[in-house]
Amino acid sequence: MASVYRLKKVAIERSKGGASFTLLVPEFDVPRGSFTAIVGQSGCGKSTLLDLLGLVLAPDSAEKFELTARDGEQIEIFGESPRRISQIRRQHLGYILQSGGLMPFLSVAKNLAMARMLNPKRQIEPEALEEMVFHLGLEDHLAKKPSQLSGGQRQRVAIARAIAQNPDIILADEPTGSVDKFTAVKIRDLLLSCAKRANVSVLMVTHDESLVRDVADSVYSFELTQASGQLKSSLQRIS
Amino acid sequence: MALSSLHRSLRPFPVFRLALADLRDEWLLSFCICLATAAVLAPLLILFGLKSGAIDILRNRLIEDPRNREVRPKITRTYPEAWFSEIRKRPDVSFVIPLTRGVSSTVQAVNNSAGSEVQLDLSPTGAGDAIVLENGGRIPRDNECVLSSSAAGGLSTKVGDKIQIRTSRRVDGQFQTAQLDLRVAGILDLRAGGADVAYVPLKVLEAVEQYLDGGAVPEYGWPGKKPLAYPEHDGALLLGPATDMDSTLERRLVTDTGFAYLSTVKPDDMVKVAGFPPAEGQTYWLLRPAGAAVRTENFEELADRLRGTQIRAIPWINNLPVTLRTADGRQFKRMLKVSPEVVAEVAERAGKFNVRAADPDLPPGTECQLAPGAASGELLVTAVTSGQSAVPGALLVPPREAGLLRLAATRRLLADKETGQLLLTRRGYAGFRMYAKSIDQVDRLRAYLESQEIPVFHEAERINDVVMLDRQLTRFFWFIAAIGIAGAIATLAASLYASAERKSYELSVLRLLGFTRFEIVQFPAWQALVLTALGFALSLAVYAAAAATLQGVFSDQLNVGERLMFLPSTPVALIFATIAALAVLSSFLASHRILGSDLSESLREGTG
Repeated sequence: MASVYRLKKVAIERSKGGASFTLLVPEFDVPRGSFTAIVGQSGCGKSTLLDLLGLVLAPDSAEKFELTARDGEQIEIFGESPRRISQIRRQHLGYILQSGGLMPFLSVAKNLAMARMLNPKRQIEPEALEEMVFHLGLEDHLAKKPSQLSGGQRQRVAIARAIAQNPDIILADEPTGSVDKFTAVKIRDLLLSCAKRANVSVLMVTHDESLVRDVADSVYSFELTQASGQLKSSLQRIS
Repeated sequence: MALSSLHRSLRPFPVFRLALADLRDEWLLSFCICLATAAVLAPLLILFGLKSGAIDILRNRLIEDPRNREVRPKITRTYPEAWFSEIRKRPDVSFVIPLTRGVSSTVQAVNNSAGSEVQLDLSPTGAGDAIVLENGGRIPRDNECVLSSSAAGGLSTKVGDKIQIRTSRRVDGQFQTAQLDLRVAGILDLRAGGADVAYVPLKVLEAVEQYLDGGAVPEYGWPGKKPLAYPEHDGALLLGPATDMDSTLERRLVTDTGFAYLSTVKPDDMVKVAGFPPAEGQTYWLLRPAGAAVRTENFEELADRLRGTQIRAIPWINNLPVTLRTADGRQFKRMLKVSPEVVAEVAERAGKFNVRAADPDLPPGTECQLAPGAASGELLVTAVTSGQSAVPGALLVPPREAGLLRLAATRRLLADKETGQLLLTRRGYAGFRMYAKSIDQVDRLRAYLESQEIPVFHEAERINDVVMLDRQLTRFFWFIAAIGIAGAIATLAASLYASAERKSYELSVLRLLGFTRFEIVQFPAWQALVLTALGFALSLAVYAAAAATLQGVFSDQLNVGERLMFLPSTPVALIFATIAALAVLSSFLASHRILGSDLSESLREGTG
């Protein structure tokens, strides 16, 4: 099966407050159309991995750090210029942040329009976008600003926005972190169903393994070790 | 519903539209920033508008006021008519008129019907006089006058009324008054000046001056002496026995007589010098003055010195070219000389000159017109020939007539219409009133007159005063403007920096979504530009309201077309550009800080 992401021997070291933390990714593969979950407690390196995959952080070293687009284009991420990185993010990656990451000064409709505008060469079809809006139950909220929506509604808009960008993969950072369990399940299911419709891969980072254990195609976690005052986290597949 | 059409609402210039959407969403905060900017800029613009308007009004009023184009001499001297003819030809002179002596320009004016009386200054005027024409008047014709506003008020008179001007003199112990009725043809605006002035044709002042000098002014019926011309000669021809002339007499002849040089005339030179051959047994001498001419009183002194001798003195003139015209239109050029034989005759024929001509075309009794030419121009004197001259081409004339004709050649004389007597005319004028074509030409005119040793007064320096004032006010303004602009910048910069900081999470999300660094920097920059523009527009609106209000309040003190306030576009554009540039710069500083921060940290900070 084709992969969206292929990582091999990728490492990144981060320092904060005098403490040093190293994330190691020996091997990581995200098949196309799959749902991959990254789980772990706070401070284990989930966010750092997501930042790596989201091209927010650049690895210190990598044997392979490859992104394959839907059209088969293979992009070696490591060593790319900041301008190219921005372009890759725009064209291939979608994001769902814990708080949604919506523009507070744009209506729901304009938030979606902005996302669609970002990827002009591969714009999602208007009908598909409208269908997704209805699927997410947002048809009555299009004129509202994010501040006028509940937390769950905002996350649904965030899902719609990520899909509207028509990426190769959606990176979701704790998308259910600020809602209750019931809503979290709904959001999870909506995310997966929309991604399936749009043929978009999903990678979700969550601290709640139970939310994703039964539905994810792969689940990864981290093995933490400490040596010489340095914390090392190594990604490993657990299912 | 047309979701697909929505993306078009974000194109073109999507970053600009996002920035604008954010400003609209926080409209109250945006409005407050604009208001704060306007609070600093509006007073600045009002100040600048007042300064520009006031200076503009001052400058235009100075330029338009003909008094600022006027040039007046500082010294009194005689300005002949010929000088005026020449100066009028200059391209930088729009108007010039002679002035008579100051004593002749003050008269009493009376409005008999209102019973009012004021002392007036007479000022000559003529075609093209700006002080009259540009202040609501017209050039007065004969027997008319144009009054200053103050004079009209003092006389309680209006256009169309008649006033009477009076002037007085003392002759032979007697007090005499002359008067002249003038119709008021116009009353000038206040701008023409506050003094009591009547603008009249030049001949009125000339008449007053002549009357005060004791002369008559027949045109107005004012009695007085006629300014009869007097003879002037170039010297005296002495003839007599040689034995009567000794060194003592020689000394006496040149001491306190007005004569200075005595020389013997050789017999061979007699014809050339005197116009007639020497007589047997006579010796001839020529006595000449130190100055230009001698007059009757000099000959009286001479006669006194020669008493007791047989030497006679005959007034003598240098060769004087004249033209004779006969009744049938023939013209002859002759050289005028004094005839001693005519002295013996002294014939008088009813005011006609007695001349001798050696010319077969001019037999005795021929009446002709004699033109002395030169200064007297077309003056023609009636002459009757008598006898024959011994010298061809010489016209012999009695001594007195020769002296008069010599005067006519150097000074303009007129012939009295009734008696044919030769009358003196004025030598010149005591001053002038002159206007340059424009205020820019006043200095050139001043330089020309000073090169002719005529220092002048002029008001053009007032325009320099306005220029200096403008420069000083401009300096003051820019000093205050610098403070104001700094305040506006501080207000905008602080607000924009803070706004960009508040937007750091949103800007980080935009970075995450794939907006380039250049696009991220544009977001706060567009906001800076829009807020500056709106703040400036609000300032201009406040300025416009203030300008309209003040224009209305002070409308009665402004002339048509004058604006109390106006903003020159270049400095205003400069102020806007400066503030906008600095505001955008402050936004760059904020976005530079945001772009320099850790993106992952910024995204996590926004989760709260």
